Amino acid sequence: MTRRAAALLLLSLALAVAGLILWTRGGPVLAGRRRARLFLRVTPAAAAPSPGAAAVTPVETVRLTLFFLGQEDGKLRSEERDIPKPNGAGAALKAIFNELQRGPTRPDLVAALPARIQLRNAFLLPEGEVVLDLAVDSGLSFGSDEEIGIVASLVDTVLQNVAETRSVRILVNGEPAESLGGHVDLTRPLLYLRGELAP
Amino acid sequence: MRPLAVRRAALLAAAALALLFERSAAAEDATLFWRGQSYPVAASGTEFRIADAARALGFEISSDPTTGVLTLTGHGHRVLVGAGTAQVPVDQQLVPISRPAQTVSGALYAPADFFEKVLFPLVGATGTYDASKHLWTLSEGSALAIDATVVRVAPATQVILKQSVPAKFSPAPAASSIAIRWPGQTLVAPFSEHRYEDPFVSAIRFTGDSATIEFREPGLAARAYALTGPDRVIVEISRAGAPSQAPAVPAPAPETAAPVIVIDPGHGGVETGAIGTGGLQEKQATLEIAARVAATLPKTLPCRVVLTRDTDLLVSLDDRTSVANHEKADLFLSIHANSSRITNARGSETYYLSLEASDKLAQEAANRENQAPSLEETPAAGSSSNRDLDFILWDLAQSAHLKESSELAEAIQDELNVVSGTANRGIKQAPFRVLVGATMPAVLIETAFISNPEEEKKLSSPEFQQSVADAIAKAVARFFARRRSGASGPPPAATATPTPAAPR
Repeated sequence: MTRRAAALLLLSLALAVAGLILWTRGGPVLAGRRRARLFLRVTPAAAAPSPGAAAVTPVETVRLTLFFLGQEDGKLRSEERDIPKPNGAGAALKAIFNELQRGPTRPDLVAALPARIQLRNAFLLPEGEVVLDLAVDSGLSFGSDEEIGIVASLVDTVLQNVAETRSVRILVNGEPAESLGGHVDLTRPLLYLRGELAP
Repeated sequence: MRPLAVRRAALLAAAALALLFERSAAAEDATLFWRGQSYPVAASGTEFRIADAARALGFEISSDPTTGVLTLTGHGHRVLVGAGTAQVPVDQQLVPISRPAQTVSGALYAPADFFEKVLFPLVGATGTYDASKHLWTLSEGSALAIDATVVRVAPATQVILKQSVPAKFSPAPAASSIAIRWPGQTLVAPFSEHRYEDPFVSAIRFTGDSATIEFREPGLAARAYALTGPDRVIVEISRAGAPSQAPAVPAPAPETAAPVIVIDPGHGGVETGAIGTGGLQEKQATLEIAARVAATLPKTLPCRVVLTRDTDLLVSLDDRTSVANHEKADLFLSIHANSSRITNARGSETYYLSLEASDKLAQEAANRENQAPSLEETPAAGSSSNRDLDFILWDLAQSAHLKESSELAEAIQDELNVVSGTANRGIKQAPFRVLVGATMPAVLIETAFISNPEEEKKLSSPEFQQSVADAIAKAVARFFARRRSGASGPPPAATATPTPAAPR
């Protein structure tokens, strides 16, 4: 065997072993490095029907009552919206969060949730406690009114729309927190904040 | 090919192989040995694939395609795991783990303590990961995971030892410590030793089946009792003879000593608070106004003023209230600047605590606290389940002062209306953390909207800052005068010349 042939054989062998190891192990470490942590998993939107396409089977929908801030007084006011029926509690909580963040359609209302707060996870516990884990950008800062608006909009909308829920516990970046930004108490589960609703 | 090229190719091949084998070793799979069988558990660094261990232990596994949350069901329990969250819902409880689960190649992986604190106890097994052998050997018998929290509830300190499952305990008090022992249990402790800055508790140590709470000084009194939902042991430490519960409302007795007033400049350090469009940071404005209030108050009434911070310093919300409780303050005033998503919001607002958000839960917990056994009892079978309200005594402390807090808020708001020249926006209630633990009348003052460019300019002007300080001092003086006279109801309103109602 020539030296050249020996070198090529050695290199091929190394590459084959490398490929085999990666394939059999599923490459978790490499994949783990490559894959960014997605805090919010967005369900891909359905493609718009093209003109002349066959009629699509109607999608079952549910009606949400979403709470946004009134432009005049900053109190919570409701807006109703139909969305495709989510499959399960986790998906419902995710859909509610997405709709709150999408904001109101009425011009006299303002979204309470800033875009830099994302929903990392949402759980519904057996006795009706909802746990929302919010990914909050460390650069965010809030005043009292802003923070009350965020918390009340989330808590009241969740308790209004998800059956069998009685309280909402909010985690910040995966951990328990005193507050979002130095104001509203998040160390315990929150009940419906009726005081923030417009009279 | 020349010899040099061959050597280079050989070196390259060797380096590639070495790198791959090193990577392979770093992610070597673990083995779970349980009931005479070995089960492989895929590893990625120091994380392990949840589904592998869960399946081996007999859990059913389902994954929500929308959220990615993994549900493990079996042995009468349900566990939910989501990437990025270091709190794991197990039935009705949240169990903390050292690091959040993470997604690797589409599967959820978790650190070893997830398996040891969450999964193994649910199947009645215990085991610790042997990193040198990449092995868990499980033995029958449930481990008891404990989470320890120290909470200052003046005049006492509570140590909350949250258990993963119900378990009998026995306390062993000594002169300078109290040990809580869970006989026959294998403990999964949150740490071996942790030191605290608390006035009564200097450290907690876990050894064997015990947690030892070290006192800062000998002779302190301690009582231990169990609560359920979540299962926990409460150890309450106080000075001998001191009331162990939060004090009732102090009677508005004749005030012989000068009142103590704690002024809390909101935010500080890395927590800037709201930021105006002109760049003014809330922490900066609150510190300047608070300093003026502290200087003005003693000129208005004889009093001692304490600031929770006098520099650009991060202070936790609970520590701010602790300062007031420690000083046995008569009033607690937290100074803030507001911010709103409503662009033209303006004016000042004064808040006192709302228990609306937790009133019902607080009442349930208060009832349970009142029925708590006095010492060393394990949870009574069928005892009422409760929710996780570890800080309930704090709630009760401020709720006893709500009427006076409301009166103080009204007095301050009346004076601030004169300063801002706006119609009375009324006093407000909100579940603010900084007010929860105060054992005296406490309010949070939003001096102006930093989110409003016009008011942002006012907030940085010495004239406006001083007028706010004067207004607060005047209201506080009226509050004490009213209290001394024994009159109830809000102090007489100041005279305001309101402009048309300001939008928020």
